[in-house]
Amino acid sequence: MNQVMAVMKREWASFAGNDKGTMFVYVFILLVYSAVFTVNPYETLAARLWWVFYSVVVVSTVSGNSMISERLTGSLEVLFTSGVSRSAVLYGKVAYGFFMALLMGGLPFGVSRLITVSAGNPAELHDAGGFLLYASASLVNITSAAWLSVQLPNPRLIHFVNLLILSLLIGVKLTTGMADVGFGVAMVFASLVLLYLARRTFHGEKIVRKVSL
Amino acid sequence: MNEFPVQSKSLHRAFETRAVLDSVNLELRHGDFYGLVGLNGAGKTTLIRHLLGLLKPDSGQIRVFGNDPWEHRTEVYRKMGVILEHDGFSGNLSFRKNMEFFASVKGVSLNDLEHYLDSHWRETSIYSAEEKVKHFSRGQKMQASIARAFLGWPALCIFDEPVVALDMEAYEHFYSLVEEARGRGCTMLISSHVLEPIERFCNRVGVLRDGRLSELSRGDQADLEKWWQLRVNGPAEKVQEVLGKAPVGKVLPERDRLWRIALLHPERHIPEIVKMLVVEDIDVLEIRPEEVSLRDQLRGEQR
Repeated sequence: MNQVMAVMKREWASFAGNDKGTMFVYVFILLVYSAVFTVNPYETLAARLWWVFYSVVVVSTVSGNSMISERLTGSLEVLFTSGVSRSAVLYGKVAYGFFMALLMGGLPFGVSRLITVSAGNPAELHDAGGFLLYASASLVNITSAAWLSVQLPNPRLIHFVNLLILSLLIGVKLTTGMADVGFGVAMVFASLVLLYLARRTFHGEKIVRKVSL
Repeated sequence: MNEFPVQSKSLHRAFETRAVLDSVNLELRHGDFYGLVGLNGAGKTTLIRHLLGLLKPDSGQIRVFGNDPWEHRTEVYRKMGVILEHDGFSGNLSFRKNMEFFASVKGVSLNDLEHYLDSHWRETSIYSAEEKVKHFSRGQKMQASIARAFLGWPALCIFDEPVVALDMEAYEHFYSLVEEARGRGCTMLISSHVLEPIERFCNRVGVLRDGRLSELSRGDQADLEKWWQLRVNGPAEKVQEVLGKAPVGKVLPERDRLWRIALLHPERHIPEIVKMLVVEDIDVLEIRPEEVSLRDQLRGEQR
């Protein structure tokens, strides 16, 4: 557990150490999405699409980078031989990715709800359900990024494959008419399967093979 | 305690159809300093990656402190200091923050880390560097890697090209750290294209060629011919003729009246050779042993 926390803290410190320009872009995105979720109530199709886009493109960029960047630089080899277990590296990175997803999703969600309530409109309960769906979808993104970062010959394709996976899941929800909670549970289950697959690949040889974009 | 901190038996690994490691047998005893040399693509890095459990052999056995490195035991890695091609630092963090992370996963306390940095790295530019590691020069990154590798004074060091990009001062500093590690009973395997560190430190040298590992004899060449330099004044044809009759293993004519001759028993054969040359009116100006560098030895092996 200590090792997982150490990896997670390292990832966070590395993110916080980004250049000012990069941080400005993140703040800008958060502000824009706060506005987007304020003007598009959850039940509209536009809001749902924005959430999917946000989950796949914005959040998985952050978590995907954490998975891919060390493969590109080759620094995973050093990490694996430094006394931290491979599983701890995986779980630490997934935990960091999920934390970032909650933070980056929670901020615009919270700000948009605050603005809505301040304008005299009560926050609807289904808004929270929407956020839970977003969180579970993000978990799918992060765990699949962990697995695909090793499996795909070109990690640049991760976002496209993630989009495909989420599209399939949304297709299942629409055709079966599953409730939000049930769908969220299904996605958490899918995440666990992906995490298991990622753990296997993290203990294999492929993860230290050279990769290029 | 295992007799051999590192041991490989009949290690074989092929990439596609090419055997990169072919029946590699290696045994490092406690306190051994083993230099690994070979041409580009000879398999040095591949061997190191197998010893570290980053690659899995097709066949054969590897043991590091009695454990199969492919089991990826963290307690084994904590006894090791490693330098690989990449520095492995998080570029967005400072050197000190990076070291704090590696100390925590290696089980080294922050106090011990501070003491280590204070006592061994205070004089270097990386000690007080507050900038992110991504802004370090190549030499500074290598120094940082060395600092990490010796953190906690590991029992086994495996270094792949540890002196690349080091300036003269950093080079000497590295040497002092290696000597301290030796004093602490460390076992070391160094792979390097720069032969000086291997020549300076290693009691054993292995040459990888076409995936096969053979060991060079170091400091124990009683049964081998040694090269001598002979400077004479006389016609080259005549000198060649005399040396052809003398008890000389090999004769190589060099420029400027200089000849290289290989002798098995110089104490017996030199007076004999000198006498033969003098009888033929050839002046012997100088005869002295040639210092055999590791580079020469390797060249000799390649011939």
